[in-house]
Amino acid sequence: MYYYDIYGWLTAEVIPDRSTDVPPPQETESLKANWTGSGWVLVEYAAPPEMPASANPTEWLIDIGPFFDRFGAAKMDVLVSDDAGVQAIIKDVQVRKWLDLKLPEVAQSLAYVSSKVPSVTPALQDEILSTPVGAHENLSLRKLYFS
Amino acid sequence: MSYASQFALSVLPLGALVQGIGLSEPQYVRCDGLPRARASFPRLSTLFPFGRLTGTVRSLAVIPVALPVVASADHFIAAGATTSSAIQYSADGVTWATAATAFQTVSALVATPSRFVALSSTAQQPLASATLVPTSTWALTSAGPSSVAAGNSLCRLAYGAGKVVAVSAGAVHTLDDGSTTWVSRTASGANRMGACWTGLRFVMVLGSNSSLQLSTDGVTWTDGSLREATSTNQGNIASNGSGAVVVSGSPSGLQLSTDHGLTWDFVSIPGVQPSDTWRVQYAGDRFWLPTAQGMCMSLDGRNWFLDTTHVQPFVTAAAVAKKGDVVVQTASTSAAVAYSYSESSTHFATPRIAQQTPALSGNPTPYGITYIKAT
Repeated sequence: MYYYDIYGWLTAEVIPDRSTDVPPPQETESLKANWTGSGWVLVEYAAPPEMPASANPTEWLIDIGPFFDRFGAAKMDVLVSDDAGVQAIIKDVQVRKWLDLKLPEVAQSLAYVSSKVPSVTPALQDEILSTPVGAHENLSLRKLYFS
Repeated sequence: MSYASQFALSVLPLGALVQGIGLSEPQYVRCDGLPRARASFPRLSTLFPFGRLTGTVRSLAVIPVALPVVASADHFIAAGATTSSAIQYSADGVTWATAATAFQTVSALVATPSRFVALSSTAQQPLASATLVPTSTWALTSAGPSSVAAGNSLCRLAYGAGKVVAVSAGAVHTLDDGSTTWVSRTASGANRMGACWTGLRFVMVLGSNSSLQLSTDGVTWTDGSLREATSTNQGNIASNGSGAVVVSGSPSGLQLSTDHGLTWDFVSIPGVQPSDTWRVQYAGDRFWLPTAQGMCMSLDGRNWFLDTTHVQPFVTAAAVAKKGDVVVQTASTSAAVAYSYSESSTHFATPRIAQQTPALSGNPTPYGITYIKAT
């Protein structure tokens, strides 16, 4: 078997699942064998390309507890609210494993809470939704569902 | 889905999905997405038409300004930079070079039987190559659409019935074979996202809309309808050219027609959370669907298979082209990087079913360990 690295270059390293039984052509000082997927080609060796930054799927996902904590001093005002809509939103949040702060439904729910709980000001809403999620705020969901 | 406590396991058919404990190979294979040898699971492998994919990182000649990539019989063509070398090409997906063109910022590409055509996201007329040789003369056409932003569309250009159809947000144009002069056409609807040729007609998908536009000649368009509206600025459409048409861009994921765009069904992919940001494509011999869980493929648009190759990032914003056995995927407009795939003839990827989250919900439902009946 002949092996190729993640850039397609022939390598002596044994890499599982990156092998072929097609023998490579004779390499020269300047031309190296690269696996196209269906055969080998001799091309001038090029250093690995600079890779684009990877998207983080959990970037705006937050655990439920830390989400409640983002309300700060207004948290208790929300929890003791006797408005049926606010209580329904609290229950709806509590049955979830996490919240996606970029979902429009979350912003809409927050806006409703704000209409019934004055201490949840527009500035606080914006802070809750727009502050980047810290590693300690989604540790649980990352370990349970994204590892 | 069947449950081990309710059914006699021996009567479950090949391919049945089962949740349970204590199940083992060779009768049951865990749905972990890992490759299995066809020789080890000959009956199960008959259910999986695609070989396991192996991805390889490729260096493009330049950072592309847009994602589109297409293939002719001999070359891959992708967007280049905003220059008078606005196209880059490769014969094997490994080595890329730029081609001299009129100045343009490519936003869409199509390969016809005789030439390539490109749209521009800036105020330039579309480009057309003289032949299917990438280094042939690329000249500006006339009376066509300009300033056509790609947006979330990978299907702004379609070819069929002897003409190219260009779909921009507010206009439709056609370009006959051999011509360099476009003709503006009239079609209903706004926020047009793109079109495909089904083998019988063009089908055009709109953003924020359940309406479609249908045409057998690209000239006269009539109304059609999806089951579910596409989301804002979403909507991609692809066909195998034999009547199967798939639309992505709605919250439920995919919609399928098997009668050239007249009637539609919903389609789900086991273990893959639906998203309205999906961009379905057809390249080579199959449908492709890049997702956040991996690359999905289908022969008929109804039965989809997930492959979780790990070299390239799992993103929905990616374009795919296939030439022979070589597949090229572009996924970035910030680096001169593309990815090629090779397909194994000896191994297939098992389904990967770990959890399912309904669309628009932050509430995942973890499955128990899922197995597939292999004998």
